[in-house]
Amino acid sequence: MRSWTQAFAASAAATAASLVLAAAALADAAAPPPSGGHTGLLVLIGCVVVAVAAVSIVALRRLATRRARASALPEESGAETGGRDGPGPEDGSDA
Amino acid sequence: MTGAGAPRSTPGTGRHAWAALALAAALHAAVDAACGVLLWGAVRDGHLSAGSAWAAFLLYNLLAFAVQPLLGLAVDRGSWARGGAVAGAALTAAGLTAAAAWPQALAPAIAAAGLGNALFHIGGGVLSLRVQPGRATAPGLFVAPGAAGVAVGILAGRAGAPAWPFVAAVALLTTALWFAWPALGGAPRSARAARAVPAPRSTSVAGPALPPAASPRLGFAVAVALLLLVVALRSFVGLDLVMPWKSDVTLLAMLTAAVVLGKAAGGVAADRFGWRPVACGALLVSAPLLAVGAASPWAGIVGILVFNMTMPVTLAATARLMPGQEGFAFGLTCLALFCGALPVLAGWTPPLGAAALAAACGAAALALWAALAGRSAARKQSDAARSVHPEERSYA
Repeated sequence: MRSWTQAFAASAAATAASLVLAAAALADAAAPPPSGGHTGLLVLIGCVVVAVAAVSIVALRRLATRRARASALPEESGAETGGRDGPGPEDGSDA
Repeated sequence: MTGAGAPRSTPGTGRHAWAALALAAALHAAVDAACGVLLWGAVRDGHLSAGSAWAAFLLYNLLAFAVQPLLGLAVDRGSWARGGAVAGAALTAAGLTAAAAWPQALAPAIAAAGLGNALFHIGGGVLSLRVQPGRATAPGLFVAPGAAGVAVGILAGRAGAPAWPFVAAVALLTTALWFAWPALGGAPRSARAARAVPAPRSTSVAGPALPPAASPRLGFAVAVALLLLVVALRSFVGLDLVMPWKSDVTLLAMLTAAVVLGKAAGGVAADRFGWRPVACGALLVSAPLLAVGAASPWAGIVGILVFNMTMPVTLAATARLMPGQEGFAFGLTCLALFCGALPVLAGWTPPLGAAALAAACGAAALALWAALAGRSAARKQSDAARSVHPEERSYA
């Protein structure tokens, strides 16, 4: 629970930061590009992408842990809880 | 029985759910068209210079695609798919209205349109992934019209079309979607409820199977990474293609139709004939066609059609790995799209030659084959299990 809360808080912070930065860059984009081109803009975009990717990896790690924990449950437990999510895409079609 | 254990037809039951999906697909086209009109209209009217237009387009794409995983996490966490889709479409319409009313202050309008587009994609994507959980048909049908919307928006913006028809279309369709959404049977299963159900075992009848790996965690990571790699490669190849004949309006219309048809038909065909044969086969078939596509419009159009058939499979396969996290899964694929497009958008890579194009398609096919490999293995295991325990057939 705590890791999920942390991931969510990080995602909210990253979203807010990316919005502020993107709004600032958009405002800047209305002006003609400086002689050096848009290097700063590309760096900003890189930072936002890395931030989003980092938060996504945290969330994916949590998902992976949950899956691993679920797969370690006894067989009966999985059956009782309906351990499936509808027939798979290849059911009746991949043969 | 929980939603996760329900038969295939729930949560989104029957014709009404498909009608809601059709509305969402139409709204997808309208939202994308509105964004195209905003950006290309601003360029046409001189509110964006050639240099600043490049930056504005890049930042718009950043907001519209790259932040989607974060929005997806939030939407999944709060079960806000319906509100997200409607709020996103409304935000896009507000952005277009603001750009038309105050063209000197484009930055907030473009930011609103980009974020609104992202939010709508997440909400609509969740809807499409829950109409028929574990199937590729509905996601393909939802995503496909977006390409037509983009094309219409670009043409309309360049031609100086007024903004109000697009605002009106988005408003009407958004209202209709709001009222049609309950047709899903109250159904969109909350993320919390889905998380309460343990993820299926790899040997279950239809669990989201993983490629063979030393541990479930590693298998999960490998599957997600491979699927996102395929999405990024597809985005890179699709954007890097040079087709000089696109200046012909008729051929451009046919090319757009091929994109729409490919995405829509890809999901249907994959559900009918199997994900791996259709998706991997499509990538392999498209490689030689795209390689000669610059010189031959017909080969290029057919190649694009086949090439796009992979999209619904990668999306549905990613979502199946993350039960109850459909918004996050959808957002991840959009982040991969952006990452794949970035080298081309930023001008870092020259157009690929025919051999490199074919190699990229081959690599994507190989990665997809590996990502979906565990599914066939799990199916064989489940078939074997059912032959030992025939009573389990009642679950099939």
